[in-house]
Amino acid sequence: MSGGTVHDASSPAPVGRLTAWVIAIVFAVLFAAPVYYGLSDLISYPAFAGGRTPWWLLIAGVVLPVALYVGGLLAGRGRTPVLRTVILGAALGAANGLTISGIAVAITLLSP
Amino acid sequence: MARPTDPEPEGDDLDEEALSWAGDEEQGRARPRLAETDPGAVSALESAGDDEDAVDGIAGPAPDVAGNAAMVLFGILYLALTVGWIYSVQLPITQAPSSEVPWNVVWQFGKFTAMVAAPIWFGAVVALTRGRIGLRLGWFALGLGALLPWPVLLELAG
Repeated sequence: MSGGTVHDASSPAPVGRLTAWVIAIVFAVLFAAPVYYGLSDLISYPAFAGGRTPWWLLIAGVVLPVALYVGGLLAGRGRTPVLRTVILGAALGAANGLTISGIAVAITLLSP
Repeated sequence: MARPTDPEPEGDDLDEEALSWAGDEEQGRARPRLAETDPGAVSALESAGDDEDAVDGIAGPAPDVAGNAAMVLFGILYLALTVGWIYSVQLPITQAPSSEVPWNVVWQFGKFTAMVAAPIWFGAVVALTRGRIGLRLGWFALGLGALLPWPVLLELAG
């Protein structure tokens, strides 16, 4: 092949790589919300709850969305853009569901 | 296909009748649509006699009934998760922590994704684990635990 870029057949084509990056960045922005809510709770709850702070829940609220994002990226490697989006969409839904559940559980634990 | 004017088919004509469609002759497909039976397979079946194991070996794999039943069961459970989340997002405990419009929009979007997470997870697992039933059931079970609608469960519990 002369005058053009030679691509390894096993590596994704440039368009596919660009799409993969766009999907990863878009979902990173979307995952920022559950991570923000987790961090916000981690900072504000101890001041409110004192010794009854459910640390395991607050730490899980930060760690799980990050783990789901990284897991979704790894599970989507080498797959079509549609499948990557579906995998990360499922992970995003799970992250948001866990965040909402975490807030509900924390409120229930702290209620007298 | 038999027509009212056709003579009544008999014997071998019945087999040929069953394996062809009307109009085959016109389209040059006069031969039966099924391939001729392999004489070797027929003799193996005949020699097997009443030995059912030998017949099973030739007949091919049985359909995965247990796998399909598990998938239907998980499908029903994931449907229940979706319904649970639809109820959960309407409870006061899941209302937006901030009344400011941008954060309210982000929170509502989060609730929407939580509501649709179960069907998306189910579809993703089905697409990713074709032919690997053990792995599929493991991911279904993991999703079931991760997507439990705790707000509505807590509401029901207390």
